[in-house]
Amino acid sequence: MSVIRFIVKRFIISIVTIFLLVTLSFFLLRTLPGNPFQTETLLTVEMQEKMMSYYGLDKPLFEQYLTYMQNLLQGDLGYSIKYRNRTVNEIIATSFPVSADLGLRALAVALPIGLFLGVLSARKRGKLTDYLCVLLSVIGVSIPSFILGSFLQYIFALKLQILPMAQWQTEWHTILPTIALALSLLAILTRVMRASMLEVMSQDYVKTAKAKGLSEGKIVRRHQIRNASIPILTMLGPMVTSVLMGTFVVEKIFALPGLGQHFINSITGLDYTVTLGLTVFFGIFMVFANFLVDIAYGIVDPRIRLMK
Amino acid sequence: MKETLLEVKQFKFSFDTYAGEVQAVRNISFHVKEGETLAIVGESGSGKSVAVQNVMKLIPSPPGRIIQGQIIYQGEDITHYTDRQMEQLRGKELSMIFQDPMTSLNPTMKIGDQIIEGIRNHEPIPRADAVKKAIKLLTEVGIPDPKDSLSRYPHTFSGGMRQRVMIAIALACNPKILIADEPTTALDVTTQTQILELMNDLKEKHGTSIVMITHDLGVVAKMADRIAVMYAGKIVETGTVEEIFYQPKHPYTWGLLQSIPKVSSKRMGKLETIPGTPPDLIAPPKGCGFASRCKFCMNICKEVEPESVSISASQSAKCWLLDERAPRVEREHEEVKKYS
Repeated sequence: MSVIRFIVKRFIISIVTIFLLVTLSFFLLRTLPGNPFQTETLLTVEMQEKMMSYYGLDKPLFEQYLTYMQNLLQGDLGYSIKYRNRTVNEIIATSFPVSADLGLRALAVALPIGLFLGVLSARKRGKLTDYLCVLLSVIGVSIPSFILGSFLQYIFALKLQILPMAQWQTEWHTILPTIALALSLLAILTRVMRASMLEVMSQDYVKTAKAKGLSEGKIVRRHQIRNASIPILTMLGPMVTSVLMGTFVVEKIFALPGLGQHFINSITGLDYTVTLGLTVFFGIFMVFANFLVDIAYGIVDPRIRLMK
Repeated sequence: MKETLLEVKQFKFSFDTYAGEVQAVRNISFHVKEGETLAIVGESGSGKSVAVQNVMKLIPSPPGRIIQGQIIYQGEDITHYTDRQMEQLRGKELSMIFQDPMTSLNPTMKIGDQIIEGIRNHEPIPRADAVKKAIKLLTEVGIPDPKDSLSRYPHTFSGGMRQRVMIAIALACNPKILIADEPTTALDVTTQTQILELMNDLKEKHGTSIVMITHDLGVVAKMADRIAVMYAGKIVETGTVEEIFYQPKHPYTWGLLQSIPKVSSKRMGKLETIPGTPPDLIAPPKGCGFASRCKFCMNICKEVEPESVSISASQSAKCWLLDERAPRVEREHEEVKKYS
């Protein structure tokens, strides 16, 4: 099957996925009890109803859905209900770059180190190096980022005073949040890579490579790492998406103007358009990331290429 | 007189496990001469794979451990060669093909690259020359469209074809000895025959010695010049094909020969088996390893290990029945001649 056919097919599937996602989210969101104006205690029921009609929320649900879909097709995610005069598009446009910047930095740190430690740990299985790597990844997985974040702030900003406490201004500001976010990613990557390497190392073709007279280094580079990284690819799609979309906790601790806060705040405040808009954005991103992963799969593993 | 290429002397090899030391190979000696095929036969767990994989040091240590003995290749003691020294021998002097061709090739690498990698590892030739050589090798092992096959991945080949590719890889640098660890066990019967014939042809052509591990006596009859029968980590009998098939001396060898399914028998009887199971190699018996399963077991068999008794220049066996004080027993005679 040609590459183009594959891409077209995947594109159509992606559209359907996103359509289902929007539809489901739209109706599910509306099943939540209450309305966006209820929480503001000063508003009388009468005024709440006025507001509802102002935003068109009193119309039949299906009509609202059609309107939303029409706007969505034009790339318009609508106005926020809570933020005065701000469109969802604007919110994403200002907040996403911050989250993505932080996410990319964290990945750039976590990916090479995590894979390296995973390989190292598997190669030195049962030795001290291995135990240290496993210990590090257990620590990384088990320490919540709000503890780690606060801890880093305490040490480097408060005690040593060598790095800024919070906010997103200079390069220096990025260091602590990057570490706070990267450690858990690094830990997961190390664990997966270690397990995957151990499996590959016991494969028959590694023995074949050894029987050819290849040196250990060549066997690792040519035969093991490539095959061991297939499970990493699988998890990379969702991982990249969730990291770039912003993490509520890390962004909150370091007072970063990222996307993470909007996910939480819009749901607690029933800001329908923001929640929905972010879901759509997240969904499209995730679908796209997985699409890239699938293409990468085909490059790394020819068996998968054939099956498409 | 042909020169002895490989000699294994009084070799003992164990695995350290949590349950204890598993004595996989307990003092074996064998040799391989130029251009001959030695078959090592025995049931699963008899230590035959461990014995030969050790020649190439393919068993990781730990858990594996050499207890004693020597491996001598072309007059040189390679028992304690370092990894770096072994890399010079592997693929160039000694090569190996494995049991399961479905898993022995790297699934994410084109077979051409897998062959060329081996060639260029030992010979500093330009890639283009290595490609030519790879095409020649693939032609030799009977892969159709050798040139196009270079850029194909292993999963596009059948098991038999993959084993041919494995043979091509193994022969890439003209090794003196080819070790084949049950090369046909995972293949269907017609493919088996083809692969064995291919190996025989290549052996004739290149003068490669073959060490063939198998539990299939049909394969042995077709391939081997000499046979070593292994049981519970020891070689219990060794001799030429004729000697082992026509005048076997060890009761275990008798049992093995009787267990061959007989197409020719008029009555469709039960498949013959050797009752019992091999001994536990963590605590091997102090006498003969086969004593508990042997029909002719005497008191001494359980107490003292039999010495190797020479029957001819090429045949010897380890059995108390060969002692002059032992009673004469007759092998329950079967129509041996029919399947050789």
